[in-house]
Amino acid sequence: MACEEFPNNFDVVVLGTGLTETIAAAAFSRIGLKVLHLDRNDYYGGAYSNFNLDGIEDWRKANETRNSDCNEDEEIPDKVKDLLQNGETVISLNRDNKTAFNIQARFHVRERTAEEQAKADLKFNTFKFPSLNEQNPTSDISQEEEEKKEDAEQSESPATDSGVSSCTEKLNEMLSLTTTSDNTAEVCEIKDFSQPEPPKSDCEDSHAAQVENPPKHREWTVGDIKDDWRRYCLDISPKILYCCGDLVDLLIQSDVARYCEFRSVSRVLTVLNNLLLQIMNLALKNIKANYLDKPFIEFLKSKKLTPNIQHYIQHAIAMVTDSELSQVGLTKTKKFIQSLGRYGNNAFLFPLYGTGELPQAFSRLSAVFGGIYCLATTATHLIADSDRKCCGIITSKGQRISCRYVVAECSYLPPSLVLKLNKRMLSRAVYITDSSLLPTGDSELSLLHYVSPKDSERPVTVLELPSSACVCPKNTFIIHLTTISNHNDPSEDFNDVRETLFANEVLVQNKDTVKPKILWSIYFNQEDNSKVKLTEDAVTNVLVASGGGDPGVDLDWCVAEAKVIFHTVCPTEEFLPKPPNPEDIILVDDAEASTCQGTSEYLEKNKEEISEIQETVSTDSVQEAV
Amino acid sequence: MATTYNDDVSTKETSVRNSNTVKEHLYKVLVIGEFGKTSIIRRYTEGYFSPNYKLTIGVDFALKSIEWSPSTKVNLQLWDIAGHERFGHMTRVYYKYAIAAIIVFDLSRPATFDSVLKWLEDVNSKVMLSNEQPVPVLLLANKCDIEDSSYEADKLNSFCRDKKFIGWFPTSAKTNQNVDEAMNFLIEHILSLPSGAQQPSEHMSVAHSETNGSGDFDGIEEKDKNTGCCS
Repeated sequence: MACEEFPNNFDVVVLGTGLTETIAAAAFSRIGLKVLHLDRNDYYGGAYSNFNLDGIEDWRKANETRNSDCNEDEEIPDKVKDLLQNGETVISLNRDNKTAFNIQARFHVRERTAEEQAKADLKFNTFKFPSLNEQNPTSDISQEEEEKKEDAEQSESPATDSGVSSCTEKLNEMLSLTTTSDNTAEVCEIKDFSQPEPPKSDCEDSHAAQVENPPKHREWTVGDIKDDWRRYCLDISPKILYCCGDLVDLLIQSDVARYCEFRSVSRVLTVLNNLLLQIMNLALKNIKANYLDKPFIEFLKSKKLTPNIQHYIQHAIAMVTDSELSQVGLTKTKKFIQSLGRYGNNAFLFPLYGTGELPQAFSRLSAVFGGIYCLATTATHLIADSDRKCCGIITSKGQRISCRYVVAECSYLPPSLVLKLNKRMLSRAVYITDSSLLPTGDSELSLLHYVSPKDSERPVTVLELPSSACVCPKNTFIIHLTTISNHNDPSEDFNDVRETLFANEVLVQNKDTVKPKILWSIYFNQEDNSKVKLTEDAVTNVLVASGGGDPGVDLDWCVAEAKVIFHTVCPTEEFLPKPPNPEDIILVDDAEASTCQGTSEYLEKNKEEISEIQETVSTDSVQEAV
Repeated sequence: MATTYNDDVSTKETSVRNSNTVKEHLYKVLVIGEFGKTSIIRRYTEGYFSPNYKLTIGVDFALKSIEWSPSTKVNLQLWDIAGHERFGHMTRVYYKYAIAAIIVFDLSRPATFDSVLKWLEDVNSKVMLSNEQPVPVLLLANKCDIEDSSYEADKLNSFCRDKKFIGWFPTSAKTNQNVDEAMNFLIEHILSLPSGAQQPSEHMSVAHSETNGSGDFDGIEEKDKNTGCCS
């Protein structure tokens, strides 16, 4: 299964399976380049990976023992020297990497009693081996499926393929839509629970009716959570997609969208309250050049908006800090509004099964177009020829592979080759909770930009995921918190948000609390490797990709980064064009090719299509057939 | 003769509309193994054999439609592991929503039988039916037409019983031996699965409706998570 040797020659070797690398690898494979894609980990995604409950424990342990130091001066082993040709030199690469620091994970609930355990074992056993023809009484699929159908219905609103360029054109149309529809952007209030919900569409109403409220005062145990360990998908870097953003456009254009499913972020929450819709309109219509270089809040103040409305625009829509310039704030506001209405009533999408699905989807595209994938394998050395041009790698299995280019995620390259431009850390927390931050009986996926009164420059991005996002079992929620680190202990960075939004563990006896209770938590720090560049010492034909860890909510910048990498190697080729229709791909092998030459009417008729495919699909499989 | 792989979801929709009495199913089946997968898939879907298939480029799956009975039509999507994922690290995209798997080994290469259990573990660790049962897995001993290939039926019988394969067939893509029989056996098994395992799973897709082939399987919810436990 894994003991074969790789072919010895590739066009591009890609190290690391983070989003930027996988997009680039898919783009290379797509135009017929031979790609070898390696990852030192035994899972896809690098900093964009996700894990179930057992997997994240393994990840935590692995990070404790991992070592990021690269011994650049180590002596080159003889067996590596033997693989070199005249004039070639090697550069040692990082074989290992710590992806997270200061990791603390724990349960916040009690263990099962022996009695409960016995009961659970019994249930588990009957659960595990029922006869195949009996419907399992504990599964509640039909209801879940109903919910999913609802989602599908919602998604039926026609998707538009137009890129960002034409968005401005559509903007007016959307704005009118915005102003006529009350719940286009549902901004809910957290403090004021008595405030009525904005009116819902029929579809949502029928949906809500089907979903029972989760049992409010269930007492959870460690065993209850562990039993469902497979059902959790905990993202290291949870991200959302702007409906009108570059990544969504790329998913559609490249047809990678066929591998992914999404839920829309159904609520944008904030901790203040006021009317929203008119304000968005106002913000757009009043773009004044003289404010572009001033902080965004000055622009908002100049509009004589009430503090609450300013707060909405700044924190819930633009998601910028007080010091951010108007230009940035307005651009982000615009992007948010442009994204409304494309897929349902909100501006963002979240990939089902987590953000970690995205690199895998691009990997599959690359593999389908001939890219070779191997995990738990890396390059130990780069080979440079006498002109300091990269010409190959030595794999961790000791094989020499020649290639024209190496694309490496920054953590694979030694410090002498890479400059990390953002010298900061992120703090992350992931909670499993027993209820939503703002329960409505509905399965909502919520985004909250939380601004602590104590530190307005370090807002916390809160992403609440329900079980319908396929990241956790029923009646639980996953809450992701992300902020820029200010403390050595990542949990301290979330003290304020934890006290405000979550039930106090000490006072948990107060069962009337509406705040969600944390059942399990993990905290860690991540290095911000989202801006990197090569040093002057780097050999040519090596390209670096960022390593994740940026505090933003979206991933559109990865598309831009992958595009630059792709066009450096292939300046004139198209970046991830739409794959040919499967029906148009003609598979002909050597034996058939001779028998079918010029004979098939079908081939004659489809001459044009075939030659088109032959240009784009590796000719290995598509023979000259006409 | 030119051949095509067909990804025609719209056909399904059309025929469903035309006749309300015919129940139509779309099932995703994984075809796993080191040698012989492609020749079996093409023998089954296109009805002929060629000794030298190249890697399938740019195609996710082959489609076969079967008029199972006057009231049932079955569309099988047969997902080849892209030859390139042969180092054992398939993406979740590959496993997602599969309702069954076929593991192929080559009777003329005994080493390929040694990998069968690794592939089986990999499947079971990454995908299960929506009722939490393992997906049915069929074992195919391919190239049974080759003279020096031999197998001990008793051993394979007990192997399948122990490892919970739904069954095995000696097949030959070359002579078309048992290919249809094996596939029919698998379809029968899939159709007999409890309805809880067969719920459709539909989600929002960002693609256009005409390219949306992934959102409407008649199968399966995938519960598991790629933790890279394959090797």
